[in-house]
Amino acid sequence: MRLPRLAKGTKARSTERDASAPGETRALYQVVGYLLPPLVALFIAGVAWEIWVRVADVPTYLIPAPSRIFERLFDGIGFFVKHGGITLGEALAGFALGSAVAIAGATIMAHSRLLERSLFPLAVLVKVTPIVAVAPLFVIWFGFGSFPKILIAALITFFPVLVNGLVGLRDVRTESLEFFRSVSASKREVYWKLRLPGSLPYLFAAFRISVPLAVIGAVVGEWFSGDRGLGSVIIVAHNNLDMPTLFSAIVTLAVIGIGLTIFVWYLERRVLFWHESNIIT
Amino acid sequence: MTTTSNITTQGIRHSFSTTGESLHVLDDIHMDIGQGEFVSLIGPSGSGKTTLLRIIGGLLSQTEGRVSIAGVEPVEAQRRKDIGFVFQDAALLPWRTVEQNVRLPLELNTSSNGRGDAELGRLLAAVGLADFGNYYPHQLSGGMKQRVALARALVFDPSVLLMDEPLGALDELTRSAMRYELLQIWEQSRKTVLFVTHSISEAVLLSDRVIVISPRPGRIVDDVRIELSRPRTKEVERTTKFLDYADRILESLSRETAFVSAATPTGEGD
Repeated sequence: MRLPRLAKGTKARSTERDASAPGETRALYQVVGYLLPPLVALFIAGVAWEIWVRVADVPTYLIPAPSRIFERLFDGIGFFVKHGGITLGEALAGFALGSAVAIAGATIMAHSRLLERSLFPLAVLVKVTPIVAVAPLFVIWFGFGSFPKILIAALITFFPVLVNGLVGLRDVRTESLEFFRSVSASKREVYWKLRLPGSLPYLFAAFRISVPLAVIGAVVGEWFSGDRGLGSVIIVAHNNLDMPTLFSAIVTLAVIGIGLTIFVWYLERRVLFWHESNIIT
Repeated sequence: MTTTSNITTQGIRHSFSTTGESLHVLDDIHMDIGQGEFVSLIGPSGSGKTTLLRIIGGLLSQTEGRVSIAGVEPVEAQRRKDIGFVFQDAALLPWRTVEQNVRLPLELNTSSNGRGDAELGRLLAAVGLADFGNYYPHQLSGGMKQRVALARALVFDPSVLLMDEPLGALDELTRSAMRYELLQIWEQSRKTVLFVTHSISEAVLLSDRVIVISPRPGRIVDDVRIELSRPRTKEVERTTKFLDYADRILESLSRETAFVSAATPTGEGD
């Protein structure tokens, strides 16, 4: 909190606005500073792509020009929002389910070495089995609705959260634990007041990995069945060689991925304000 | 002599056994600490001071012997919230504010609670943190963190305060200032304090009694009653009486250490 004010003296000369609200203005500059270079690079790549497609006369069924993609995207924005929303919903539901089961599993394993030794290998087995191989099975078992997609997203979310949760729940400072014991706190109290909050930095590290994975899980599920969601949009567009639609679905998925990543990052900053990784910026 | 004794230990022996080998750390510890007495345990590292403190605090069960705190076993005293612990590391929860950290013991084991928020405020003021209730641990200095730990240990108003080198991790200036603050707080509440330290002057300055423990296995080799008037000030540290006490304790300590290094020529007697 004190840092921006210290830096004021050095910054004041370069930008006059700094003097009014040094902290916020600096934060804004920082965000712009982070976003601008990749956006410019993306824009230049898009322009080059457009020029190349037009000059070389690349057929649309191979690679459509960015202008064609955006035309399709904006004309059918309701269509992409609807299917994107379905995929997003499945991914989030799967993420929530997978994380909840993983945290419950980590809790059990953190308290019993025997259960850890019995259950952890099973979790590894689930992890090493390619999700694409299991997806058709789930469709057969659970039908064409959203449920098999949610399940696949949950399955893919599960392992990173389990592993990090287990490490996080065990990573407790001896002196904190002794303090809890010295006031004869119960195991339950140690869990809720010490272990679980202490494991949040580990859990968020896992969430950052798992959230994009959950989207992959939902899309893979949609490939195999159903007529809803961006995964099935991609399959249909692929069969029709409708490249503008296929690319638009990909762009929508990218936007969903970016949005989720930023959301998790924001949530992490809010929840873990006390953790070393967030204190000095 | 104080009339009632608050902490008594009888013939405590303790060994740690690791992979078949057993390490004898405490031998035949008899202590009798009166109500409201400030007693320091001093000894070289490895003498089992901390082990003794943990046994008395009910965090560890001794191999042999008996401990009683206000007439009951340590675990029962723990359950009654009659023991306040301060460790070398403040061990505050980083996601809780100062006030929430101090209140933590009130939220745990809630069968025997009493204190309200008004008293919490008074407690924070007593340790000089009245304006810092809403700060988080990462915003505090080492000395302030230890004061929070002290307030947290006092929140139940326990009759016994066990302190394991609470000032050990602080820089010298903060440390000497904290000694006087600690004395002030203690003089207001007159708890029975058992204070583990490495510093002779700290022990003499703070205590009514200094108990000197030998290197492994830890035995009580000296029990010095410090008869300096209270409240103690910086001037006390320069009186000859103070220095005499310090000398005597140093002598007891070095006699034992010399004995050990003579007995174990390999020098593994840490």
